[in-house]
Amino acid sequence: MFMTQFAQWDQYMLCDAPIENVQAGGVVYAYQFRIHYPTYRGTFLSCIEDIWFEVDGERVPDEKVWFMLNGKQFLLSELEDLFQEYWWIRDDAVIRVVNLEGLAAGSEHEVHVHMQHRIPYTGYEGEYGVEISDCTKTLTVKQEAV
Amino acid sequence: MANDKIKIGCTIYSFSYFYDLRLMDLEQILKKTHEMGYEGLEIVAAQMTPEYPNISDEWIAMFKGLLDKYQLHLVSWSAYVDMGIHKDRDLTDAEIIEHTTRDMIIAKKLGADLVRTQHAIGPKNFRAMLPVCKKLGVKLCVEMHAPHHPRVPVWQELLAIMAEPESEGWLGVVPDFSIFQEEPHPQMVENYVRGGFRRDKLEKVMQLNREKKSVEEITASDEFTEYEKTVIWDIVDHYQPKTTLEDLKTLIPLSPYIHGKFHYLDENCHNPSIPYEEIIPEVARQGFHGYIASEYEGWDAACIEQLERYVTLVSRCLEQ
Repeated sequence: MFMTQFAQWDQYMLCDAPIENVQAGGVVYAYQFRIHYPTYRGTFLSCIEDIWFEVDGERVPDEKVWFMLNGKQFLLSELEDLFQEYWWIRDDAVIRVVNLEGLAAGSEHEVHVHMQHRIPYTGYEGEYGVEISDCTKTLTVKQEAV
Repeated sequence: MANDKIKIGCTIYSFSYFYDLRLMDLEQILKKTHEMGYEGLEIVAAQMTPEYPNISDEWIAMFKGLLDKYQLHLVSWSAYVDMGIHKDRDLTDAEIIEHTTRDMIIAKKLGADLVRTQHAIGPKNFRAMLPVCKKLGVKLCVEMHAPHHPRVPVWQELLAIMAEPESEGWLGVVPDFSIFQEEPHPQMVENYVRGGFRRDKLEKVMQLNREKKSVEEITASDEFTEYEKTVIWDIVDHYQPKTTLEDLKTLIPLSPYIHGKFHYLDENCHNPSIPYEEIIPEVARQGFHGYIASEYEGWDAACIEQLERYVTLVSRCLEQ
């Protein structure tokens, strides 16, 4: 059952922090940005039923995304099993997109995140409440790679 | 902030906007609640404990130290029954009991009066917790939140258990005043509009909801999108309260604690969505003894002003 109870938090889902290019041994292999969980409390990663990203209107291939939290990195396809990984409300997850080109320093990009997530304590009428959260922001790429 | 029996407390969940967006930390919030004159408070564990759900003794000692520093008493450790954390099954009874026991022990370590749990604990597991409550000296109370009401089957069973003589003083209910909410609050109206509900149609729907029309009647009154139909269902389900003031006669004797839910109070400290002026005097008449927690759920920067208005509102209602 889809809910709209937490839609007020959607605007904070994409963090305002700039996009960063990520390098290994001086070679850029990815870019990354940050996301915030869009309700008032944290959740278990297993409650994320669907999550995807668009950059400049193009869908980012799911298999190129690393979801980084709690000092670990996960594939999107692994999230549904992670009932012991808690996404605390004040910890931003880093979304790292493997892309050997990176993004031009200083350039601006429209980033969109879509997440369908189960609220694990609902079920007042037998079914869990499921929220659909969307957020779009224009983010700038930081000059220095990390 | 009190009459003889009723005190006004605060759930620091009210500060969600400042906390979640890292504008205030836990200590700043406790300092503020102390400065505002509150003495009793509640914390939502799944929100304000960085190590959740594995909470260390170091964190507990840190939090206790802050409570002492700001002369605050922990009334309620607000716990969850996160039934849906597995992709393919609900929590088992054994898991629910283990999670709840863990919360009861943390509450004991913190010196809390009670653990707030949720209806999903289920009647059988709720009753099974009674020896733990007695052993630890900590109450266990189920929150009744909209769209639930006293006549929902699971609540009939839970209330019957609470009313058993051996449960007295240990197993109770935390009524949340959302059960009396008659209107979507302003933030929820904006949520609906942001989601695509046409504002002029929404106003008509809210009027029909005031007239207690059914989902079918409202849906048939105009052309609506699928999203708008979902919202109509949500509005009727949440904002045609099935709980009456009469129900407080059943609930209050079983309640050591109340969630004073609100989303918006106007300049006159009046709540346009929840009839506080009727509820609070009835709560007092039924002999309530304990804390009514100020629970601001506006999730915005107005929280401090709104909490101040709330204390004014409840104090005024108690003087009636």
